[in-house]
Amino acid sequence: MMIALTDRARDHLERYLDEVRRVAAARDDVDADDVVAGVREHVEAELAAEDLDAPITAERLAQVLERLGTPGRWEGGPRLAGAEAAPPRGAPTALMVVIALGLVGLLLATFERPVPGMALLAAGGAVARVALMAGDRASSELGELVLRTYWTLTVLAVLVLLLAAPAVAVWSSAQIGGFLDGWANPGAPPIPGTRDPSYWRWIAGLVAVFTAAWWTVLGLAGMRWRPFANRLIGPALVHLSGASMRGLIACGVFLILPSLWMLLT
Amino acid sequence: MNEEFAENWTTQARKGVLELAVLNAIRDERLYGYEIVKRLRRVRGLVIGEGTIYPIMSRLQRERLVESSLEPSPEGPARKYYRLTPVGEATLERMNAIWAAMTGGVEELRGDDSAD
Repeated sequence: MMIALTDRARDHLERYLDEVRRVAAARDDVDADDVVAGVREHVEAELAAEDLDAPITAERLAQVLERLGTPGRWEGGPRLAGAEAAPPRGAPTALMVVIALGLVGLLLATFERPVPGMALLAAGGAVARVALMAGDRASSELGELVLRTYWTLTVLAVLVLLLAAPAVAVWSSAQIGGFLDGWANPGAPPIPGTRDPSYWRWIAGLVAVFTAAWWTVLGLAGMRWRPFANRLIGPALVHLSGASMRGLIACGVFLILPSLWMLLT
Repeated sequence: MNEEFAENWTTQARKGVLELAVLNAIRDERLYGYEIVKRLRRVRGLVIGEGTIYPIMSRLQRERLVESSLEPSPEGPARKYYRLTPVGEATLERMNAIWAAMTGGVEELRGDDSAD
């Protein structure tokens, strides 16, 4: 009876075992296959006691791997240079570089410098990919998740910025600011009745903004990891397909609608 | 206290003691890897990364102190059971004697220190 793992947990386990093999192979006093088989058996033995009705999650597996420790830091014998050179899990250099490139890239792109901004964003994605392929790990699960979902986070950040644009446009075109002032200030002109066109503009504006936000959130929440496609073409393209594409289209539509509204009114 | 020195000393001490502890864990019965780890968990501070024992088991096999056999398990794939070889038993006996002499001597020194 084999233990069942979620796709993410299996991927995590295989990467861990790859690291075990790499470190063991750098030592001339142990058999790497032997060590990998021992660690695999340990993981399966420890998880075999779990509720086998549900697959083991990456979070549960991470607890077991945490206790097993970072292979490059294992004790128990003389180490060779290769073992010492194994990347320590506590070294978040790549993560810091990726976050810095992503933030500066977004900032530049926002302030009308799209080419250097996109170049920095792409560089951040490349560093994240290389760091993951080289087996480098962030100091925490959250950090590693950031590396693995760099493009998804970037797309999300862009969507948030896109959402802000129609919101501002609708706000000004529907004169929501003035409407709220009137509502909050008794001295101001009275709140328009339902027969007043500005009332309906205000309602339509709110509906537009919240619909765009709702579709975007729903679209992104509905996405699924697709392991094979993910390995081949990267998270960004996967997440831009299917459900999340609806969110992007909705954002695009609501970017255009307020402009049309302003032209027509 | 010199934290760095104490940390290095602990690491060095643990290295040697781990092998002794592993050999003693399988002294009287054959165990598979995870069972050995569970035994070692009882010794506080001995095992920081539990995966440490797998390179040790591989090395002890190369040194012919330990031998292993694969046996089917009702809970999953076959398990590798470890047991001491005759050479391992003799070596462990000597290691235990050295350990007893060393710890006894150090305890005496500590006793002398506390008496001063």
